Amino acid sequence: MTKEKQTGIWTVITSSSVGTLIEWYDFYIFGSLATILSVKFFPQDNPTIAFLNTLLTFAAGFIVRPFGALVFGRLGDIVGRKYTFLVTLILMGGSTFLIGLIPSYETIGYAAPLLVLLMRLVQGLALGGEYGGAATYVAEHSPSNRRGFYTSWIQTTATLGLFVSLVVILLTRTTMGEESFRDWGWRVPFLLSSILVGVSIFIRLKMNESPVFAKLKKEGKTSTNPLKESFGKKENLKMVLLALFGAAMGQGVIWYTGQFYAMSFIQKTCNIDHVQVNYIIVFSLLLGTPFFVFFGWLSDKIGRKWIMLAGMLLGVLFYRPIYTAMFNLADLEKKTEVAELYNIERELSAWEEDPAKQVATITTARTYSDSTVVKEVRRELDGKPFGDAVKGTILSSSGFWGMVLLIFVQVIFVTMVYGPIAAFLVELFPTRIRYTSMSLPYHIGNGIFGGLTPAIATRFFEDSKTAANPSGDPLAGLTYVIIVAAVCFVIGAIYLKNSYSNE
Amino acid sequence: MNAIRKVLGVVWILFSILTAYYIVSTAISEIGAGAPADASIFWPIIIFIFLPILFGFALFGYYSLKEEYN
Repeated sequence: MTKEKQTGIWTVITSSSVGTLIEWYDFYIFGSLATILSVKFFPQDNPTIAFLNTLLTFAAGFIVRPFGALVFGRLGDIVGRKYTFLVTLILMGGSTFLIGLIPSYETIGYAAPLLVLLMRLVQGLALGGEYGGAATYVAEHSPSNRRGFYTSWIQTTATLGLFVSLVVILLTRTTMGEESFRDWGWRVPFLLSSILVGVSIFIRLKMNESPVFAKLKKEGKTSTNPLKESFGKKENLKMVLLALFGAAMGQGVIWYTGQFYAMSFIQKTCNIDHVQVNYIIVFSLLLGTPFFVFFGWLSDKIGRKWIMLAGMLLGVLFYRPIYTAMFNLADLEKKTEVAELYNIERELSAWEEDPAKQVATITTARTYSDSTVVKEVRRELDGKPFGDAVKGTILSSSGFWGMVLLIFVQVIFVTMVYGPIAAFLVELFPTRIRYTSMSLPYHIGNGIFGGLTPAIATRFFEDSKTAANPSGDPLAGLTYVIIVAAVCFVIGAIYLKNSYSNE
Repeated sequence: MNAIRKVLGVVWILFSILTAYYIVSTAISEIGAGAPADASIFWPIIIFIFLPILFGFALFGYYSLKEEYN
């Protein structure tokens, strides 16, 4: 490859990746703020149901992704890659910005969750069209022997989007304080999206159409009906099904378990303090992200198949031990409280002169022998509880890094299944129907099998609560993940060819 | 390997049918028993999403049985 061509490919990768990263950021701030959004947009008669409804609204975005893949995939195969993913970017930015403006349930009642759901559906449709376009666009600029390496940069964007969303949330939270953040500051990450999308649109407008697609179009060889060609012809449909059941569905559950379910688990099941949860995930993602590129590069050398399948197998074998270790790290029953360090602080709101109207904030801190601290903050007005108490475990330094390590290991599994998959999917289908054909299995696998992981796993956990074990089995949610990954591993191992490239 | 693929084709078809039966019967029994509000949202979504996917999985099994992947 000449130096000029290499410079060109890096421009292509950067401009594609920035836009895709922003779309993932938009998509994931909703998940990262699920706990707060459940309070703002849903009735609070039952907080568990409110949280489940938020997870389902979050999941709705995933459920429509395959439809976005069909709509925009078709457009991308007829009109072109460049204009299609410009449209998806505008839709994503607009809907995210509007979520930040929706009034709360307290103000407009049930219109609030309905509007959130509507915007979430638009987000899902947009993302359904974006990823396939970006992966196809980069792959069609790449030489076949470097396709895994170059497309792996696109693969980092999903994790980096989550990473950026957490960093923005952390910065906003720490800058304005917990109370203001819970009150209105959670809207800032949504509103910020409009600036990021504006920058990305500016960059993308300068891009050229994919050379392979442009050539096809010039020769009049583009598909006139990509949907019919992709799913109406047995020869292609059977490859779509193989891509879904032999790779994408396993990739989806491993991806979401290693990042989102892990985050939900330490937050809801281990009851770790929200800010510390964000730090744990941020460090794990930061350490793990370079491995997307490593495994993409490696897939050019030894093939895509066994790297992806190894990631699935490791998940099947090690998720239960890993989650047991995570649970034990935060299990207060295994720790000894140091009674002398028990501390209680009471602070009155200074701005209110009338003592009857002053809100008292009572902070209780229990310290354990390994330096773990459990903080509970509750508020009282005129001697009666005011608002919900917030309780969280702040792990000791060793506990914190132990948790980072355990999630980092899961992120490595993610990088193994996800790093090479764009190249794998692109190579499975011909140029004229590539956008449509690769987008659908990817978004069913990643969006539905993966995106529903937190909701289905929470459901498994709730079902494990019995009269004999009212607190339930904290690892019950992993059953779904392990079954899906195991079935996908078997199919992948027996049916897939170990591809390197496809001229 | 081709013989294994053929046998597995039957396994995938049976797996699809049994999973579809499990999902539908659990949904009917839970919603019929007056399950909480979240169950009446959760199960229709699961049925709407997973039944077409299970149909696709059965089709995958059928193609496998017909030696399309050999």
